[in-house]
Amino acid sequence: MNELIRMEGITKKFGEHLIIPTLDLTINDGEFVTLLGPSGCGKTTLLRMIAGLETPTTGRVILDGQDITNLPPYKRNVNMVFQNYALFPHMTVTENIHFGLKMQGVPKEEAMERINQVLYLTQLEKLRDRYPSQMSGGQQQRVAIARALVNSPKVLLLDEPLGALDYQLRKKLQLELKNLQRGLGLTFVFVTHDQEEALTMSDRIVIMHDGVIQQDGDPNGIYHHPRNTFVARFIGESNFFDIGSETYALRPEKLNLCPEEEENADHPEPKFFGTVVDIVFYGTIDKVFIRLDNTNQTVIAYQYFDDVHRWQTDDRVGIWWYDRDGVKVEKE
Amino acid sequence: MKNGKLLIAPSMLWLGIFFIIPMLIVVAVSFASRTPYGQVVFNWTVSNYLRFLEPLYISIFAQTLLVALVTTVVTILMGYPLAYYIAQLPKRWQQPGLILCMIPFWINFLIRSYAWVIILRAQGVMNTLLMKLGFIDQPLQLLYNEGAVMLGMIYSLLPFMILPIYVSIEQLDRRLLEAASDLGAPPFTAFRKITLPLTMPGVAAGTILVFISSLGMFVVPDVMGGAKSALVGNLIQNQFLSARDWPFGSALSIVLAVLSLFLIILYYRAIQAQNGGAENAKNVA
Repeated sequence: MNELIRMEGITKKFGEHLIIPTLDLTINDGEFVTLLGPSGCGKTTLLRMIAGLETPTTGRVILDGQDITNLPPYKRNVNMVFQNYALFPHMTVTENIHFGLKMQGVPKEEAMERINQVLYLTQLEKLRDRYPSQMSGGQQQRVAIARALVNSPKVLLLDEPLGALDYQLRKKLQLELKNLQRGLGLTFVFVTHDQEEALTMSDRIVIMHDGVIQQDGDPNGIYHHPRNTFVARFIGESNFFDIGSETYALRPEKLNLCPEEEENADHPEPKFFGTVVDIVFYGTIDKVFIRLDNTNQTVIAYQYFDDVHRWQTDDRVGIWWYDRDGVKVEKE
Repeated sequence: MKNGKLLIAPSMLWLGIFFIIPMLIVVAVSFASRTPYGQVVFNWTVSNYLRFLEPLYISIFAQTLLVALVTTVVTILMGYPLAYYIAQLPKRWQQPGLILCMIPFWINFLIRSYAWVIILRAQGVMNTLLMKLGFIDQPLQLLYNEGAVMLGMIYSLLPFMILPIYVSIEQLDRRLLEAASDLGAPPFTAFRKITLPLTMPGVAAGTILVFISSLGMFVVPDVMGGAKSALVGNLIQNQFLSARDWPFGSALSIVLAVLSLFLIILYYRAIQAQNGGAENAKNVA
């Protein structure tokens, strides 16, 4: 894969506030990369640096071999889908999409052709003469994507583009976006704080916290092999067990429960014992909350609707797992 | 809901007594005539309106419209950049910036007009300064002409242009400018294509405030224009005070009011036609 964006030795200060200590990141051509982290972790700042809307305090941004660190946004061949879409309220859908092409001086005929193409791609053909205020959130979102795509940018930057939409619509657009990216073979850099969104859409996830990259890898690897307690906690649900001087992370679905007293067990010895304090119904699963003896820590295990043994509150349980499921993690 | 509507009763009563009824009285008086001693006689005639059609009065109206138009255009040209500048200042400097524009209003309007007389008259500050510096040998006629009236009007009405424009620029979503830049628009293009059209409602509001105020203004032409440049405001004032011809004065007022209303409607239509999205802009915010 070809390298498309390289960010070298990036730091960012806002006044006295250090947002990004030092950061290096490479993004390859055709990748769907997600910058994931809690709010204030620096992911949006990083995205805006690629767009040119922020300048790094130190470091360089290289796009397709060209140093663009000090290039203003309007001279960069990248486009952004803004968090609240930032559609021009005094222009129709077509005029909004035409804006970028006009700036590039694309002849009218070619422009119309390209506009029709993205309108088709984003299923907006029937809404082409509407104003943004006459459209729903999901439709406005599509216009924002169309307005960016029509310029054939080298990279499409997306700043929490689905954040303002309701759950059902978000699910639907996640798939649409992913398919769009695959179909066009375009590079997407996507910012979100929603870990589920990141897992379903990305080729690669970069997890950030306090301006530092915590882990960088494919969704599968990040989910199953979190490097530290932050990543394990942020992606999915995790339980942490201290064994000796080491900490192990275990997904709730990898925890198994057994009665405290058990004869002829055909599974590994329980490593911890505790008492069930609560059971909460979640549809496909029940979450079983167990308070460990000795420590006051509460851990979570899942029980499935067809499990033979149904646990009750106040039951005494042993907790066991297969060694291959315990992931040794660094403490934050 | 029923109780809620009662809450507007005091203001409706106030408007009824002090605005609508006097307005109706003016309309009624405009169709009356007067005795030689200035008594109003209600004999329902349109002669006052016919009298307005005399060339003298038509030309005073035309002159008034011209002055109002020039005043409005100049206040837009001066007020927009200033409002833009203030709106770009750091937040904590914006309020002081606006207050600086307002400070002259703490002084009585008439006194401020006379202050201009002191500056501009033959032995005034300006002429003395220019003569001392040797630019001129004898005083320039700076006062009692159209230029002086225009100067006075622009000076006194400029803040009414600045405020609404400032508000509309301040409310403009900065992310739209980022989006424009991202889509390849250099700063000035972004200003022309995004900022300007989206702040037109502010310009429209300022235009109406300034235009209407300058149509009816009589203190400035009185103090700074001398006898030569009578505007409609002075004409109406004279009918009520010196000429004691209330019916004609009332008719002139009604003509002025209807004319202003008509021009405002035209203006709004033009703005909307040119800038169909202004309404949409408000909905999104």
